[in-house]
Amino acid sequence: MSTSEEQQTPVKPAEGIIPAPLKDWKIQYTKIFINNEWHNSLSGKKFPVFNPANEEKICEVEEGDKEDVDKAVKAAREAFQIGSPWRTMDASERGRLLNKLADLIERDRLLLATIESVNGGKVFSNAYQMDLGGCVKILRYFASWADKIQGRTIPIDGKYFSYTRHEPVGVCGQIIPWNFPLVMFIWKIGPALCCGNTVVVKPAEQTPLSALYVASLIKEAGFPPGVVNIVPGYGPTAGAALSSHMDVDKVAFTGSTEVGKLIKEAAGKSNLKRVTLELGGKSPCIIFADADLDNAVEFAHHGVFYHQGQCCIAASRIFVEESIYDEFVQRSVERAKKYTLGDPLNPGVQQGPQIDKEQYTKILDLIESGKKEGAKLECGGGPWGERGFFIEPTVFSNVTDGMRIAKEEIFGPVQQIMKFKTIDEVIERANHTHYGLAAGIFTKDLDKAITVSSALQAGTVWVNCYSVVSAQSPFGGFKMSGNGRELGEYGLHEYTEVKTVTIKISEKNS
Amino acid sequence: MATTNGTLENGTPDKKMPVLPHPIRNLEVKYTKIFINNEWHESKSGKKFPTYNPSTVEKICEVEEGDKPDIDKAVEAAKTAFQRGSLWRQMDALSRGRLLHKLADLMERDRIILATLETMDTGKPFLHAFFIDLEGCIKTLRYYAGWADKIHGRTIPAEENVLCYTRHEPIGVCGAIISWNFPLMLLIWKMAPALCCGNTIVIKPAEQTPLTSLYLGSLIKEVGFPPGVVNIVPGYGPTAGAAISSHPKVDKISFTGSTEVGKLIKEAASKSNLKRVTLELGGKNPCIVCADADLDLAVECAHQGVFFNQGQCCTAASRVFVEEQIYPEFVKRSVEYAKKRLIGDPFDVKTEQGPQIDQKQFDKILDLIESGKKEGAKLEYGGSAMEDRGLFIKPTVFSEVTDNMRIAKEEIFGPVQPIMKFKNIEEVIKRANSIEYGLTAAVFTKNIDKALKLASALESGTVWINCYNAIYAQAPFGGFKMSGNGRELGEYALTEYTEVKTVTIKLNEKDH
Repeated sequence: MSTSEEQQTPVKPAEGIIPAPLKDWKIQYTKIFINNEWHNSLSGKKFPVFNPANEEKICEVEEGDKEDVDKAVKAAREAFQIGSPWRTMDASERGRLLNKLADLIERDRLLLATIESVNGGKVFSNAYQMDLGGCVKILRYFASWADKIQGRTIPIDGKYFSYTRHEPVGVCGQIIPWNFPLVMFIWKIGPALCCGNTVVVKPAEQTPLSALYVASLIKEAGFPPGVVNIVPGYGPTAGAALSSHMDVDKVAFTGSTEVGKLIKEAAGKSNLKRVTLELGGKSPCIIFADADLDNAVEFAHHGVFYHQGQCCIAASRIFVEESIYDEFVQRSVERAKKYTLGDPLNPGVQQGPQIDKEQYTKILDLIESGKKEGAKLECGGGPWGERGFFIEPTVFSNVTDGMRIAKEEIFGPVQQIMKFKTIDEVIERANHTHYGLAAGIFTKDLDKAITVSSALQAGTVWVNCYSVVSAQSPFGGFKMSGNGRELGEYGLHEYTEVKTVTIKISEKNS
Repeated sequence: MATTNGTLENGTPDKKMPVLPHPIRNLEVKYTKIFINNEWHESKSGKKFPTYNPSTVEKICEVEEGDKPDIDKAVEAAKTAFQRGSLWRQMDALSRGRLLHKLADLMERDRIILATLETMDTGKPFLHAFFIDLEGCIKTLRYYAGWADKIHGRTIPAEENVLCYTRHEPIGVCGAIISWNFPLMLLIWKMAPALCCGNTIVIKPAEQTPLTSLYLGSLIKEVGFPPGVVNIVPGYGPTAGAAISSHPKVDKISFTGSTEVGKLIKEAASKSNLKRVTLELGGKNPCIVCADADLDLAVECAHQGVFFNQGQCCTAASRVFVEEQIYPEFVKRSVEYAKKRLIGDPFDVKTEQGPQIDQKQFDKILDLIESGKKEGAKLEYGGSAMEDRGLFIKPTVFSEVTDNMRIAKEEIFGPVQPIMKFKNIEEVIKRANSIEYGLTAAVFTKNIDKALKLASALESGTVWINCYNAIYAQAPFGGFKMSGNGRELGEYALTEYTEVKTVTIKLNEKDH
């Protein structure tokens, strides 16, 4: 067993070499985290957490509900008071704490990647390299913004001196999804803490373990009590309590569009708390005849199959120009067939299980609809294995826009390939959805690249690549894929409240 | 806006008296129809509604009553004008700016007409409409005209071998629902940044005050904005307003009005299509007068702060906290000011206070005044309606007000000044912050530490130090807490009217 106490030196793998996951490790943290202390739920209830690869229970976790959320919000409000250690701390010191947290996450990277892989069904090498790598980078990115959150002095009319302060918003409720539990947790607390807010986090009920472990690191790093609070629990109870709480100043949510609407409604009905939403997508990938075909096939493939298709940015509508359509389908099918499914901890496994039964059933239902509605099943098309929620990598060709698989978010390892003739047609079809999260364009032509990327209604457009997400670039949805942006400098905007101060002076000079 | 020393213009008054503008008597109201695609339309239902002059309580004219089908038509027009490849989308940013400047020119040309119309429709003193409302309109238009070609995205040093940049695109079709207290100015506050950023817009003016918005429609057409860029649909909140906030093809809504309705709008936005929402709502704004303040200045600013525009301002200084030692003197001087306030015909140049906007507001204000008396506040002056006139209320001053009284908690939106006492800074900060509103606050002190401490501690979107209602196009304006979501004016408003797109282009390593 390897715990944080035993590992003194950070494990730095050589370039490209991923260590083996930990064996014989124990879950240490299963309680509610408030004021840097561990609490039982006020109701006494607990809920089970499962390993989706074998459907076995990993452990039980304290089940937070409204009363626990109230307690956490109180702690967060206290920590946010004028004059508190957090409010009086230098901005650079806030940044130092975030960097320290990044250091500790690096130190315990192996354990966190193991937890994430087992709880989330994530392929271990991805968890270690991509998820944990991403967490550390994003924390360090926001750590260094902390003392650069600048207001303005403003040349206002009249004899006044006017300036703005970019203050923290206050107590932020943050509701995290299960597809990238730790990464999404860091995407939320990184900018929130950087700007000086305090937070109450509700991790997804399927995947609370990595957030709870990081809570112990937050305490170790030295964040004052009440700055970060974590209440595991369910959406309709703990999540709803946060979004309608009268003393929460802002709520940030990543999840389905359906629940996003409920959250914004609750915010409007309660206290007009500020709202950021990162919701679903049905993101188009447009492959022009002059594209580098191998490049396009590879990126489109990973774009939809990564993490078992459980990505908000999944490239779930691939539009291929007529003349290269058959070749593209053929190469995509070859690519999809080369998969090893299995226990995500095992090296050599490329695809793990879906997160739970509900998702698994929904995906299989959509696959059936594809078959029924006349798409051509090229490979896969059903469940895999005797245990765990595994689904075969599935490719449909001859998909038309009216089919359910072309309209609904699948969130599974299912690739839709459709044909197009002209630029104007494909732009119209790509934009013909309520979603607008991401899009990909594959072409060598400069003009096509720039004009089509301008025309697509998507918050992120990739050209000759896909899924390139980094801390520096803003990420978020057009239309019903979300409200607001995360990451980049833009992410700071969502976590600050602007105050204008105007002072009368006796004489003004420019 | 109202300045610190009582003159209507900024800066020191001229040695010689300026020639004051004169309103147009018996002005003919030319524009009473729905404005879509630069054309005038009748309502689909055939219905019209009346608009009144609150000074005389007489009907001015009837206006076409827009409802859901008219909103649908307007949104269609706005959507078409926003299509990729449209005139508006292809226009240089600089040219968008030129059009906004031109609109400002035309508003200057027709300033007297607009000020006259605004006074007829709202009851605000004509000189206020001319020098404050219209000034605000023109300056705000010119300010945003200048931003049009400076809406910058970024190039971003992302990881990996990519070129990464952001575009700050227009959001699309914006709905704007305007209140009746500053009809033209608040319309410009929304329209200017929206158009500056390249959006198209559907505006619903308040049902009490549609006339200046409709006149503006004629100027929009004259300037040469492409058809469908600006559309104006007069009508009521629960019909036309609700149609906009729940419309699936409206991409963003901006609303100025009560907190109660603001909540309904955010709810409707959520239930429909998650349209983006900006809200400018109510306030119960604290005015904190420290013992070391310049007392004359504080009294005058607090007075104008609460009585300006008949008390019908979201920024009204409706909780005046005065430090114990100077409390009796402050109350005495405030009463003197209130006594001197001239109430009368808004077209008379001497008038400082006109009528309240309508019977509903009038009744609500009188009810709150009665509550003040009942709950034990000391009525220092006023306290009732003017005997012989319809909607006029005497400037009213209450002292010995305590925090639990209705007049200390509820937004009055009338000429009523509640004055309360405080002992020390910590106490007044707590009391000032103890409500769900958070729009503005003012502090009167000469001490630098007090000023900056209060400026930090007050939970308000704007804090004024030794002044009041200093609102200008350059500085952002908006509410903390339940006084609103988002900011208007300044560079900050541009964020509310743009949608960020990140474009990441992979660079071919082989070619480097």
